[in-house]
Amino acid sequence: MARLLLARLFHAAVVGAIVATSVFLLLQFAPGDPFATALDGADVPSTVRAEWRARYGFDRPPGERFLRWAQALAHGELGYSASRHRTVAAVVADAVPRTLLLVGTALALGFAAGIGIALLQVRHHQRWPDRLLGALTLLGVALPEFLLALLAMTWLGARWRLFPVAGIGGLGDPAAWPLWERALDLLWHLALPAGVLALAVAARVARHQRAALLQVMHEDFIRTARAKGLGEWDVLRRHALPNAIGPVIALLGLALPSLVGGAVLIERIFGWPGMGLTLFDALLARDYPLVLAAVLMATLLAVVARTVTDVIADVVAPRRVRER
Amino acid sequence: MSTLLAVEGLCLDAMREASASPTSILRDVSFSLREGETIGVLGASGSGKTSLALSLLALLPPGIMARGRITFEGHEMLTATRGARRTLRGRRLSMVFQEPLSALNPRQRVGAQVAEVAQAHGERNAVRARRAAVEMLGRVGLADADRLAQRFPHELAGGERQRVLLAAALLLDPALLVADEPTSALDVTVQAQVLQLLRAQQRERGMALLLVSHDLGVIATTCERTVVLYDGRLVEDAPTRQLLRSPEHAHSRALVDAIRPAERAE
Repeated sequence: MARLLLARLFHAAVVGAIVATSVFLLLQFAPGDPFATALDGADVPSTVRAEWRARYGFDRPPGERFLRWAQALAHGELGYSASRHRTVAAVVADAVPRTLLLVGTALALGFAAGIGIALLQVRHHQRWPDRLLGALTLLGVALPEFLLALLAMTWLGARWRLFPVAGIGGLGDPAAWPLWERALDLLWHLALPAGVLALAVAARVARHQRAALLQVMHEDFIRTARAKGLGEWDVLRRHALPNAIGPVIALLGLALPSLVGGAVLIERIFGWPGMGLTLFDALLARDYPLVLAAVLMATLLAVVARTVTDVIADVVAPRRVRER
Repeated sequence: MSTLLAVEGLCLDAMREASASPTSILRDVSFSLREGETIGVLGASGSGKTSLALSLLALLPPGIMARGRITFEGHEMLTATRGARRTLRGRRLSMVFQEPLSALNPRQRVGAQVAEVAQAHGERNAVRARRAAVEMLGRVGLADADRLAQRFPHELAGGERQRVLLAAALLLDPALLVADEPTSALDVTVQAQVLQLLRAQQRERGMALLLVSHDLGVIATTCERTVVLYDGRLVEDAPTRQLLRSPEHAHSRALVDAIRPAERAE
């Protein structure tokens, strides 16, 4: 386990360096800089523009700027966000927990629901519950997330007024709100974005889990379990599922990083101020230090996700470790 | 002794989607088994003997249609409800399979795989179920059963695995044990040991045994009576000693001759 973690740490460092370098390079090809919208008007004297750019080091050649940025990063400095008028570290520290809350809730709900759906389908294989749920999960996979999001917004949010359609809540003076009321308000705002993401996850998980379960149901040890007098639910839960969960855990490893990025769309639609929305706004504002930090953070999360998945796989499927 | 198991006019047909006519696996098979009796089902591969064994526990895979009657302790196995079959399996009639490795769950410790038989039949106390499992593992000749119960199937030897399966099958003291080629996948020396254990347990418990094998040698040393299956039909039903002395059907004769090459030469 220690060797695995150490290897992953090294892996994270290498990938992080490659990603940071390539993003920095790509940004050099993009037109404009953080001052483009604010300063590049006809009414601003060119001396003023040059002075501001010099103050933030944008008059230097790209190579030197990269080295300076990397050096600062090594000291834990992420820079200053011109569009937010705060340090990048403060912006990221606000946004990361919100994204983790959104994605974590969506994954937990989505995986639980998806595995449950698959178990139900296999329990009633080729009868109507299987067919109905199969059609629904296919629909869930096929529907684009933004469409689901808009449907949820229109009906659950606007028509029936069950949930707020945007934001994260907690407006006004925090001191006036008791802690549990603020938490409840946060969950209330979380319902739609997390629900839509969870539906998309559940549909994919259910289809993978069903296929994996059906394959295992042909194994000899399933027959043994039935010969022991176990009920079908126990056969599924105790024997089929532990042997069919591997592919779905691998799916978690793939889904986590893409969800951190894929949440951009959902965060944008529902105005959820997490890393996705931060990255989106930072790109529009050409806030390079913030873009770089957001991309680095996503890379870090991806590597952490892979490590967590490996650890889960080891716990759920002990044989894999022992054979290694 | 009263009749424990009666098979009457059993026909098994495999339904294949492609062809309109089903393939026949077993045709009109009838025999019965008394309490405590040992019977061997002898046949070449493809004679339908494994399907026969599975049908006794109503464990046939979907797509195989069964006709006829299988009566075990007064229960109609082919028409019984799911719940009725479930309460019989593992408690009144058990089964051990040919491939001990694939018949065990690779992700579960072997002790738990034995203990869950008790848990499936009403034992709520996990500690008591575990203790019973460890004790049974010891009784089927596994040394250091307490530690062995903590292992996974792939960490055991072939003979040990088959003993684990036997422990699970015998845990609740069934009236009938169905053994489908229980020694075919094992080394020759281990084969003899497992067979000996099977015989000892049968005698000790006074349990009935239905032993399926292609090997007349295995059946001859274990079973009082033998039925011979040939191409889905039951062609002979005789005491094993009589079968060995004067087999009636041509196929039985061929099987008997096969293990007596020296005598034939005389």
